[in-house]
Amino acid sequence: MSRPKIHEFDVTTQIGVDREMTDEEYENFSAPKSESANDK
Amino acid sequence: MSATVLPAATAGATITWTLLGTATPAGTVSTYTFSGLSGYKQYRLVSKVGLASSDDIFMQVNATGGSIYAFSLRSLLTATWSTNLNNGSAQINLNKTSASTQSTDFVIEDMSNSKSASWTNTSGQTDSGTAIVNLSSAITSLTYYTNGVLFSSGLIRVYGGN
Repeated sequence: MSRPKIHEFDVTTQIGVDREMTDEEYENFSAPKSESANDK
Repeated sequence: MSATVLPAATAGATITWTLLGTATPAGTVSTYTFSGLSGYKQYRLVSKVGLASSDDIFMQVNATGGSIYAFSLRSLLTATWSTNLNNGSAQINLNKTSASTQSTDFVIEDMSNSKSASWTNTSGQTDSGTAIVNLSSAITSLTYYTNGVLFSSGLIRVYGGN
């Protein structure tokens, strides 16, 4: 499976682009996520 | 940008919401970032999305400035407020129930002018504390993302409110 993309939308310019995740972003993205809105 | 009046975040208050950005997922993206945010007291992220398979949805609040931020979030779907404290940026699980279609309607307010906050941790124990917050921080971007599944359909909108 190919790496998911990130869509970046700049509200100032109203321009949105899709790009590949960097290696660091992909590692962080794949890491378990457990924090909730009630976490401190 | 068009101004839109939507239900107020706080009972009795009138907030004018301005549409800042729209994304329409189509199957290749699992993370949406709305950047360039400035000039509003509150931000609101509204979505109704389809996912390629069941997954959780998260949001990360990014801000300028120092080490500790306090954000207040209110779900307009569940009418509950939560306060999130974190270092650098705040990562929030918007919906812990894994599902293939999800709707969110959150108001995000920078509470950096507040010097204290209370919270409930994930184990259900209630405690409280005083946070030293950065008085000059401001929300700069919101990131809306899954745990690895692609967004397949729907709409994501970000509003600024004053």
